[in-house]
Amino acid sequence: MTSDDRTERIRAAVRARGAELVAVKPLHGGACQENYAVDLLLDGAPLRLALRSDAVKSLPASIRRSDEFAVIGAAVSAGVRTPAARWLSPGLLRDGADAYFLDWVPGEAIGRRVVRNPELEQARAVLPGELATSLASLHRVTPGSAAVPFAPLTKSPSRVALDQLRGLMAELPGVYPAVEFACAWLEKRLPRDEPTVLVHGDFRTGNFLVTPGGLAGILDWEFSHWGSPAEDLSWISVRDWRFNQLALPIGGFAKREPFYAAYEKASGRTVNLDSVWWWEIVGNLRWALGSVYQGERYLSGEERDLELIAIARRNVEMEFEALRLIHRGGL
Amino acid sequence: MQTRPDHPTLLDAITRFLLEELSPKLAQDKALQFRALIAANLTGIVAGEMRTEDARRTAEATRLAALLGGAPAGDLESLNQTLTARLRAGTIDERAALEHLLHTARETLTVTNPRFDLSDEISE
Repeated sequence: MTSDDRTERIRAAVRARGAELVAVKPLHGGACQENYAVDLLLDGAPLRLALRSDAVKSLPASIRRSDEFAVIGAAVSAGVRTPAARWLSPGLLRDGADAYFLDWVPGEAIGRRVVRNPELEQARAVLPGELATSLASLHRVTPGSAAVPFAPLTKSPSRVALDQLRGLMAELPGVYPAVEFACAWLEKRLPRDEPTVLVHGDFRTGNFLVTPGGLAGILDWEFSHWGSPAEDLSWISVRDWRFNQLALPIGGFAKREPFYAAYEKASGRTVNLDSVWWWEIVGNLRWALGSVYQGERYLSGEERDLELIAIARRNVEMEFEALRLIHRGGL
Repeated sequence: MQTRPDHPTLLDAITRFLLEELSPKLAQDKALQFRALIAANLTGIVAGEMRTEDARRTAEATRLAALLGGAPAGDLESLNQTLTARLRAGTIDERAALEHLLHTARETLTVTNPRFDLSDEISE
């Protein structure tokens, strides 16, 4: 599709909602969606929105934009700080690809800037509390909520996660003894009595919009699913998401205690540190295999992106971290 | 066959070119500059891997043969397949396997990412 075709499709879609298109600008997208900044006039007033559309190809475990739209609606209703979604538009950019519009929220999301930029120092002080409060609100959404389109789990969240790791490992070429070892270790220590809640699924630095005042919004719901609260509580601590600030295990900007304490206060749940630790190992393994998968996308010839193949060579970093966590834990 | 300059030396030259000559000229296009740095990082890694590959393969295979205790001799790939199968079946000493895997990961990371903190304990 030419950019003119695209603009005309967007113009028609917003006109159907009573708005006049002013400008469209492509944004750096993810692997599973295309993003645009869209400037409009709505009732005569200027309005900027972000447009998210399904991409041609998606990643394993990523959801479609129509499901994402429903999840964002449920999150907003639950009180999560995240830009609201509107105007679900099936086939907006191409047939079969759903799209919707998000409120435009300013802020910095680039991980290394969030953890380092001097003007965000005050923000980093309040982020643990603000993130924990939003996460607690999200985790109050449980299966049975009519607003969420996911099928109920038939197994515990930890069982699902471990099966997914093994499934991905079997799908990828080659053998992964470090991941195999860690899966066997995790198998013997499956968390029990886990609650099942709506999880964000990619809750980490890089997916939070931050301004000097603090959290502006949580982004990127494409991996949300029914899961364990500990899944979201631990993913933010996965080594790579600390952006080289290893001594600050909450996203590279905070210590663990204030974040967990704020979550306990807001949610009324107890943070089980053993469970968080188990899930942090799972997180590192997910990213280890995920990085291999990124390289396969390059090798398949579908996407000749240098970054993809470079990431694939980093899988040993995540494998090491998973092994280190197991070793440090006394085995 | 031409062997001089050798492959890692050629890759080092490419790395230096990307870092010292090309990248500073790309300041106007940060995204492209970032990709040039990724390319330089990759050529640097490959040069380092080529220089140490033989020694690392031998060391890993020797450790694996000992760990697998009289496993049939074979190349590194088949030894790792055996290790993977035995880990899955639970027929290997867990502690010894963990030591081996950590050792191997450390050996790799020393070459591929010299700035990576390899400490067992990270003070949080």
